[in-house]
Amino acid sequence: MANRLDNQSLKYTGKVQPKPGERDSKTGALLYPYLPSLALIEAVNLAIYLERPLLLKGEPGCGKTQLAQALTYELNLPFEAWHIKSTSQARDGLYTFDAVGRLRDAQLAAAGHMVKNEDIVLISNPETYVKLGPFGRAFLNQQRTIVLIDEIDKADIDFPNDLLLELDEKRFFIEETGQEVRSKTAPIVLITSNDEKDLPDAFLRRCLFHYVEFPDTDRLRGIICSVFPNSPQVLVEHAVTRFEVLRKTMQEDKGKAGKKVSTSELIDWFKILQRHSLDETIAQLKTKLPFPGILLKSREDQIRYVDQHRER
Amino acid sequence: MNVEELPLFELFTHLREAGLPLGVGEYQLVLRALQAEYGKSDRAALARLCKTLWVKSNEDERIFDYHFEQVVGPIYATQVSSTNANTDSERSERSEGFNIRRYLIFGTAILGMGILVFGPYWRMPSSTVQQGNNTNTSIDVGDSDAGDIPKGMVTNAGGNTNAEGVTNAEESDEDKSTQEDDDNSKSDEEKSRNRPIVWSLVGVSALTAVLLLIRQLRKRRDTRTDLTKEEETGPTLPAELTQQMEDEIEVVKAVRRVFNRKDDLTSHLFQTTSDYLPLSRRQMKQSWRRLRRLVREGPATELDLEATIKHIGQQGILLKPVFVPRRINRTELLILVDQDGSMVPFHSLAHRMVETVLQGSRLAKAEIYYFHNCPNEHLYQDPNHLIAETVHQVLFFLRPQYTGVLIISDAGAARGGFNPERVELTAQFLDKLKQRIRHIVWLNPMPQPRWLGTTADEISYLVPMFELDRNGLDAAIKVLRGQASHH
Repeated sequence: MANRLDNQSLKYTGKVQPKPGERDSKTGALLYPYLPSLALIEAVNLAIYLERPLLLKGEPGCGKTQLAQALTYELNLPFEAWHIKSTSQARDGLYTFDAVGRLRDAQLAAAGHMVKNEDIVLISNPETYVKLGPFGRAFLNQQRTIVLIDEIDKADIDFPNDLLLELDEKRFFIEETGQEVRSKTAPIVLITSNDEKDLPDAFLRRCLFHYVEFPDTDRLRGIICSVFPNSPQVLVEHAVTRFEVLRKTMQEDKGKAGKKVSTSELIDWFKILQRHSLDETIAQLKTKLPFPGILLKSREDQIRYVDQHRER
Repeated sequence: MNVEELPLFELFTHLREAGLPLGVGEYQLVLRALQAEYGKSDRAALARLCKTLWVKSNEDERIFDYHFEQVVGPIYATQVSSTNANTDSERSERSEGFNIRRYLIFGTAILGMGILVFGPYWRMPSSTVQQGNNTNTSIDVGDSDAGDIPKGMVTNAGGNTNAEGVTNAEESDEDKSTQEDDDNSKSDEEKSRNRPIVWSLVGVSALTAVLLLIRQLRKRRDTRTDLTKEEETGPTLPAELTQQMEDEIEVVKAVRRVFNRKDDLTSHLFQTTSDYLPLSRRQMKQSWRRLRRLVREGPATELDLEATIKHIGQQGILLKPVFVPRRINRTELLILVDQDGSMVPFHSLAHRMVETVLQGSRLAKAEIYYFHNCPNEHLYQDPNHLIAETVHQVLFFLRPQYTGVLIISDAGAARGGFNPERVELTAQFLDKLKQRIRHIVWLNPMPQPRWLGTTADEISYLVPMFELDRNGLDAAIKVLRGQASHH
């Protein structure tokens, strides 16, 4: 019952933004505002209400990973991040069992180095060596935790299949101790994927899906203005226009296949642009592409888009 | 907007049939969300809700848009035009009257044709039969739109030389009646000679008349529906979609959209199946995923607990835990695709196979090469046969113990001939392959009954050959894994 009340009260509006200069309490990193689209806000609220994971796909740099941090900031809930590597196993997200540590302690105890009685009790109890992973911690938390599974398509194909029971019934079984861990509250799971490999159907069925589109001109301007609130409007206009022209040309040339300039690159680029003098920068924006190394990441792209503009 | 009136279940079943991975739980989720006031504001919100819950990839989104338009679109269209309620009722009345008129015309057309067929059997009162036809036309004169069509048919019954009776329908009635009077004065012998010509002309004109009738009716109905649906244009398939053979939405469906749903006459002429190619992308990917051989290779990172304990038992002390490398899929696949010539109709199927192997399977390596008709010295890296490599070079870079070879070709079954030279060349090539690689399998896009008596039949004795459908692909994967016995 308490869960249902919780669900109804938790709503993501996308309007609560950190103030400029605010830092994260745990890591100390600078916090930036995140402006989601309406469809994304709807999808997040659906995922929170229906207690299903939300799968996010989109171009690299469109802000899939950042959504989790923004959501944590607004709802003020605990946050667990699990960044998947190609060697990740599903079990590591739930718990890890330090078998080697237990062997070592047993050896030391047998050799007589550990003499305290309570240590021996600890060693004989396998629960001492169980370390919970992000999901495990989320399950045991009293509040609903936001769990981010980042870049799930990097892992092996069995990886999403191994997580099915945990996502569905919200419980898992620790084999070494025989314990069963049930979740008291359903975690809010956000999963990001770069779409390099396909995910199995049984996994997709349990998730809600949202494709993070590239923002339109107004939203781009809004993003720049909110991240850099003190920059002159004229510069924002010119920079965004130049960026969109470049992106459109890349879209025509490459279609869906190649890498196009993304939102995060735009933010980095603007950070440099606003440091220099205003008139000079605007003049440069009109004639050529200043600081191309921030936007264009291959020699081909640089030849095509920087020099081409110079010829015009 | 009432939730119960929405045809969500119909949409759900359509999507399931189209191949989306949905279960009853997903349908219940949508209901739950609707109860919580999500997606109720307007049609776009409902579409977004269903998309978030049911659509899991971009290809599925196109399928969803199409079906959503089909199922939910009309309901919103009628609800939107609530201000045009009066004109709607008028239109419905007019449509009813229209239907009656259409049936009347059709009935008289059949009646006229029946009389013409049986007319010559009643040779004695032949003149009275034609007078009977004239009286029939006088009844139809009242129909302003299509009255000219039965008249056109009747004039042809007189055995006139001009077969385009309908185009002459614009001419005045008096000319026709005088020509019929002239026909009455023709001798019976001439009539008997002209009779087969008469019947063929009658048949042709009747068919053209019926088709023109249908087209005219449809034109009227389209102009009417264009008025109601000014804002709903429906999701137009982008141009690339109809050129490449995309999953599940195929060309027949695009044609079907031209005919209105209410047009019962023509909707039965087209059959819609959910997929044009025998295998959907999902099925192919599932089959490819079965092709795996997990081998422990690479850096030793995984702890082997049992071996460590055994080691401690032998040594008496824990010196170093034992590590083993992780298991990874080591299967490599070499796909040889026959391109151009008799394989042109199967290009989309082969393309889909190649695409799913590169993206959806989890093979260690997949190499694609192209050839034409039969591979001999050179294989090509691109479909246009521009970048060539010798067979020796291709085989050199493969790891023989993990590699399988899959050949996609019709082997002569498409054109249906027997070419002993082709059999010889293919046998030589297969011998060369078999020296290095153990598992070779051949997939033929033509159905098995068509292989008999062609080159394909001979080649099927040299190498396991399967038809390119679900069962065939599964059997081929079994052979590549080394699990099936050679047939």
